[in-house]
Amino acid sequence: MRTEADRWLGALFHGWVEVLTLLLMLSVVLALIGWAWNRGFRPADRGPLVPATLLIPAFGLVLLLRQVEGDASAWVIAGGLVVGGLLSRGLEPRSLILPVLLIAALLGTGLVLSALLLATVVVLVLLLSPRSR
Amino acid sequence: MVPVVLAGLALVSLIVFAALLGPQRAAHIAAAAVLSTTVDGLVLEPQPHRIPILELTVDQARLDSLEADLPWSGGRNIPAILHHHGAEHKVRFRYRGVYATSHFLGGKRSFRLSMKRSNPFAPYRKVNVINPKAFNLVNDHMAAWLAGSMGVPVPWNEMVFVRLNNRDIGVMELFEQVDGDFEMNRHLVSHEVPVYKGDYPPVTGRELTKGRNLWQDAAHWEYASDADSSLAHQRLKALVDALRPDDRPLEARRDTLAQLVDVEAFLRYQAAVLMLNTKHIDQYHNQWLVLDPRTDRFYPVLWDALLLFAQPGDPLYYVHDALAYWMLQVPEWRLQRDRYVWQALQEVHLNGGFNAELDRVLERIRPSVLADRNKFGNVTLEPEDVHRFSLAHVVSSIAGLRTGTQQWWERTRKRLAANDVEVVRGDSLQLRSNAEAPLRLSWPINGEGPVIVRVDGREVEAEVRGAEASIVLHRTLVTPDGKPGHPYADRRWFNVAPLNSWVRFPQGPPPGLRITNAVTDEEVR
Repeated sequence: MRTEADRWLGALFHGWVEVLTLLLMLSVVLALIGWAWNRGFRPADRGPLVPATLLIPAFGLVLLLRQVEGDASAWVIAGGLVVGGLLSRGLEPRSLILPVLLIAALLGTGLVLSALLLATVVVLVLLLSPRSR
Repeated sequence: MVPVVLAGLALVSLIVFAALLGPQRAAHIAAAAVLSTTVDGLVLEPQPHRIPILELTVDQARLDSLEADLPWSGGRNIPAILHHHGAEHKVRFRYRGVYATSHFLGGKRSFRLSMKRSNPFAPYRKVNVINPKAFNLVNDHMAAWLAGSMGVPVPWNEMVFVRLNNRDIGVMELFEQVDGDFEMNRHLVSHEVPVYKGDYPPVTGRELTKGRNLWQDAAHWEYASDADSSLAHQRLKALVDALRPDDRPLEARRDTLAQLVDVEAFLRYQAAVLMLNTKHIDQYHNQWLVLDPRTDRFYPVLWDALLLFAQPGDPLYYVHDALAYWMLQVPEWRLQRDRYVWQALQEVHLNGGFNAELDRVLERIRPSVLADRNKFGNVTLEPEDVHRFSLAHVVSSIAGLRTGTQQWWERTRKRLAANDVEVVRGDSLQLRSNAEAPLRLSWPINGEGPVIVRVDGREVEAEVRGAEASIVLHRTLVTPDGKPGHPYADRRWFNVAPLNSWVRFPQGPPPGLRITNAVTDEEVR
């Protein structure tokens, strides 16, 4: 016998899996970027593979963009980048915040291929560029 | 550490949902969610649409009030503007569809437009714009094409890309609402004709109505025309009466039916029902009757057939309603229906007509499907599970439609073409067969006058054409459980009993006797 709750669970589950999928995609991208970033440092200087300081604001932007439509998306993205730029002054790794927020913006607007391409470019640039903290 | 904790929590949540929903339902919903989030986002820049764009503007507050009360708001019309080539057409808009949840749940809701005579879709004045029920989006569209190619009257049907209040709604199926204008829209007559709608009773309150067996009472049909209904009503009552189970001989019933319905149109319709392998047309809904003003006989309109909504038991003689129950029992009508099926199999199956049309339709809708990020449908068998699905679902469902139709038609072709017959020649001819098609016996004759043969002890007059006489050995139909059938029973079918017939000719089996499959005209083996 199906209960009333059963009727609602499907919709909750669908939305929940959508959100988890986006989180997973973002985490994978961040892990790749984190790996490429850390390769340039000695083991002792390396940071976490998926820095929480990047994951949380980026995922927040993804979630926000899923809830807005049309012109409002542009404002959310612009606001996200400004806030990200300001945050980057005090967060590590600071040079990754803007590219990661851009990738998050693309994921949040459903442009998965663009997000993957940008992530690939970021990873390649990190792999091919010397850097220091 | 944080990612590990997050992954652990996510995994636990999935397990909890799977336990609550059941693994299969959870897997289907999760697959739809994952694929629609990942795969559909891989489309970067869709090409321009190749199907009509239906651009509508509706007052948002009024639209919200309708949406807040779905599905019960389905009867309320609100004004809307239809934009077409820079011109604005005033139309009336209402949501529709109360029984199938995919019409009103999710983000792609079915609706109806009522328009003035001068409109972009003229001569059609009422059109339904529905969320396609199948993942492939074209199931119903192709069903209408297939039936139309078999000579069955079908509503005008077109795939469109809908935009509502500057938002993309996505690919939907637009089709004509059948009414008294049906013949006028086709330039057959210049006035309305009587039309009856056979469907669930209209919803007037806030409860779903219960289906009524359409053929039990003429009052169960809804009149859908402004034409004078006196003659049509009289004939509908006579038709309903002719379908009642009683002790009248089949021949008498056949003759009565032939006066009330366009037999050829109904046989083509029943052939289409077999080709489509659908059970979505039944005793209760999805039926239309149009009174042909030229013959005063009813003909059907195929409606919402759902291709491959498979009939139980894969029967050759599925009984979708009381009219089919009696018509399929008339041997010569049954043979004619089978010949229509055979003809359609040659064209749409063997000659590749269906796949060619499907390719053409897909070529037209591809850019629009790629642009459609709002594909909603039932992702499980539970009615409330109307969720977003993905391009992967569309592609897989189209492949399934191709293979499913090919398999069904090949199976049907083999059954109709089977012609293994055991013939024992003596004073009489004994024919035994487990194949299902009727047999035609033809032989040359010299003299004139009637040619009488005895089939299983009964006298049968052969049909004489020129210098050849022939008879058809029709097959006997039986119900699967051996019990007597009933015209009002739901979703029944007939099986074909094995053949074991004796044919006695006046002077013994004639030389030059040919035995052929009466459906395919191929000689038996």
